Amino acid sequence: MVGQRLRRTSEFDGLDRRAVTGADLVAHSVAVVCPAGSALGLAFVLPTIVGPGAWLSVLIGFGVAYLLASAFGQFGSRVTAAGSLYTYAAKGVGACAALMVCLSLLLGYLVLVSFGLAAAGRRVDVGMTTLTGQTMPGWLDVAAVGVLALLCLWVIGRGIRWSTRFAFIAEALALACLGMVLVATAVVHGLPTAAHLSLAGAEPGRILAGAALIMTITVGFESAAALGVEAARPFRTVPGSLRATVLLTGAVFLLSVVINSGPAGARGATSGHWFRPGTVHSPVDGLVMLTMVLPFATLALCACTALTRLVFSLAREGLLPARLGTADPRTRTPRAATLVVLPLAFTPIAVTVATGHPVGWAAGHLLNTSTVILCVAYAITAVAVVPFLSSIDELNARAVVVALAAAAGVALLTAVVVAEDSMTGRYGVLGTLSTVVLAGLAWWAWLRSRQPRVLARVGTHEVPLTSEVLLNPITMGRARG
Amino acid sequence: MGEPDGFLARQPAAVDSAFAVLEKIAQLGPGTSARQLVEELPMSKATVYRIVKHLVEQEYLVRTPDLTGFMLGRRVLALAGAVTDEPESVTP
Repeated sequence: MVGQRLRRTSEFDGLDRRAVTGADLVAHSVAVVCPAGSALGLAFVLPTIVGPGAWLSVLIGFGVAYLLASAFGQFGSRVTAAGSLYTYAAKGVGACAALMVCLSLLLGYLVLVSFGLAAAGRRVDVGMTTLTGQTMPGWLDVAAVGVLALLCLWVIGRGIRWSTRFAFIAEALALACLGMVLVATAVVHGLPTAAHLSLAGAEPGRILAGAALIMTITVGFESAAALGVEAARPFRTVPGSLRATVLLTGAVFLLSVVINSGPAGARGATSGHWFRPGTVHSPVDGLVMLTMVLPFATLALCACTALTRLVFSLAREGLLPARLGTADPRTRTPRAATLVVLPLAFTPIAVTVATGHPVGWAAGHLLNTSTVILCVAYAITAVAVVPFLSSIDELNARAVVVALAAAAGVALLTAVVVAEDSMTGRYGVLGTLSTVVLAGLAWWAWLRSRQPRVLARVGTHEVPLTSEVLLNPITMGRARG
Repeated sequence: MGEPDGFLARQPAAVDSAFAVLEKIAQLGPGTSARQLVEELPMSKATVYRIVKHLVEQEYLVRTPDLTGFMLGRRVLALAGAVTDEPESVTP
C-alpha cells in the first residue's frame, strides 16, 4: 500500500535535488536577514531610540525569532517542500489559512527583493559621495540597481549551488567588514562599562518597541525552508539552518548594539559615518558603505531565490500557470518563475523613479508593511505546529509550549508595530493585512467552488522516491539477516 | 559535524536503541508508526521519538507519504548494497 503512493520522480522534478550543503543553506538564510547591513545601520541608532536596555530589546526580538525557528523546525524535520511556510501551514491548519500565508510570503519576499536592490543602489550613491566628497549624478543609484538586478539574474541562472555559495562568500566578506568597523569603534571610543548597560531608567514600553523593531529585521530567516528540496539531508539541515541563522545574526546584532551602547553612541558615531561622524568626505566610511552593496544585493538574490521556489511550488500544484512550474534542464533552476519575479520586484523602484523620489522610497515604505504581514504568517505557522503534530500522533509538551510561546511572542510584537502605526494616523499596515486576509479567503472560496482538485493539492510536499526506500521483500529479507 | 552519525562512543546504549528501532521497523514493515514502536519496544516515548527523528535526519529511516509511519531508507539500502556488491570483502 505504501509502495503504491511512493513516486519514481519528485513532485518538484527539475530542481537540483540534494545539492545545497548545510553551510550554504545557513548563508542563504543569513543573507536574507542581512545582519551586516542592519548592524551597521540600526545597531548604531538603536541605543538612542530605546535608551537604557537596548540590548534587552535585541534579546527579546531574537528570542522570539529563535522560538519561531524551533517551531518551524518541527515541520522542517518532517516535511520536504519548496513552498516553505505555506506548505507547513497547509499541513497544520488547512488550505484557507495556508493561502493567506502564501499571499503574505509572496508579498513579503517580493518587497524584500525590491528593498535589497534599492538599498544596494542607494549605498553605491552614498558610498561614492562619502568616498569622493562630491555629489554623484542622480542616475547613479538607478543605474546601479539595474546592474545589480542583472547580476542577480546571472547568479541565479548559474544554479542553486552557485547562488548559495555566492551568498556564503558575500556574507563572510560583509561580516568581516562589520567586524573591522566594530573593532575600530571599540578601539577609538572604548568599550561600554556596566553603567552603559545598566537597566536604570529603562522604560518597558520603549524596550518592547525596540524588540518589535528588532523582530522586523529578523524576517526572512525562514527562507532556507524554501530550499528544502534542494538541500542535502533536508530533515537535518533545514531545521538546523533556521536555528543557526537566528543564533548567528542575533549574536552579531547583540555585539553591535552592546558596543554602540557605550561611549561610541554618546560621541555620535552614526550609521553611514562610523569613523568620522559629522563629516561628508570620509574615504574609509565610503569604502565601508560601498562594501555594504554586497550584502544588500545578496539579500535581493536570496529573497528572489526563495520567492521563485514558492512560485514554482504553486505552479506545480496548479495554483499558478503550469509554465511557472518548469525548470531549466541545464541549470535546474525555475527560470520562468525567475523571469517573472525579478521584473515584478522592479515595479516599486520604477514607480519611485518615475515620481521623482529617491530610489529606495517606495520599497522602504512597503518594507514596514510587508514585514508585519510576514510576522502574522509566522504566527499562523507556529500555531499550525500543534494540529500538525497531533495529526501524525507525535504531539509532545515541549513542542506545544515552544510553538504557542513563539506565536504569542510574535503576535505581541506585531501588535506593538500595528498600534504604533495606527497611533500616528497611518493605517497602511492594518489595511494591507486586512486585504491579504480577505484575498486569501476569496482565493480559497473560489478554489473550493471552481477547482476542488487544485484545492486538494494545496500544501503538496515531496514524498519519498522509490529509489530512496527499502521496500523489495527480497532485499528486506537480506536486511533482516 | 565531528560525529557524522551523532552518536558518541560513550553512548553504546543509544546505538543499541537505534538498531532496535531499525530492526523493529524491518520486522513490522513499511508504515510502522512511532506509537507502534513505543508499544513494541522497551523504551520511553521520548526516547523513541528522539531516535526516530535522528534516524530520519540521517536518512536511515524515511517517513511514509502521509507522514504517520516509517520505512527503511536508502542508507540501509546502501549498506545492504555494499554487502551484495562486494561479497568477498566480508568473507573472513
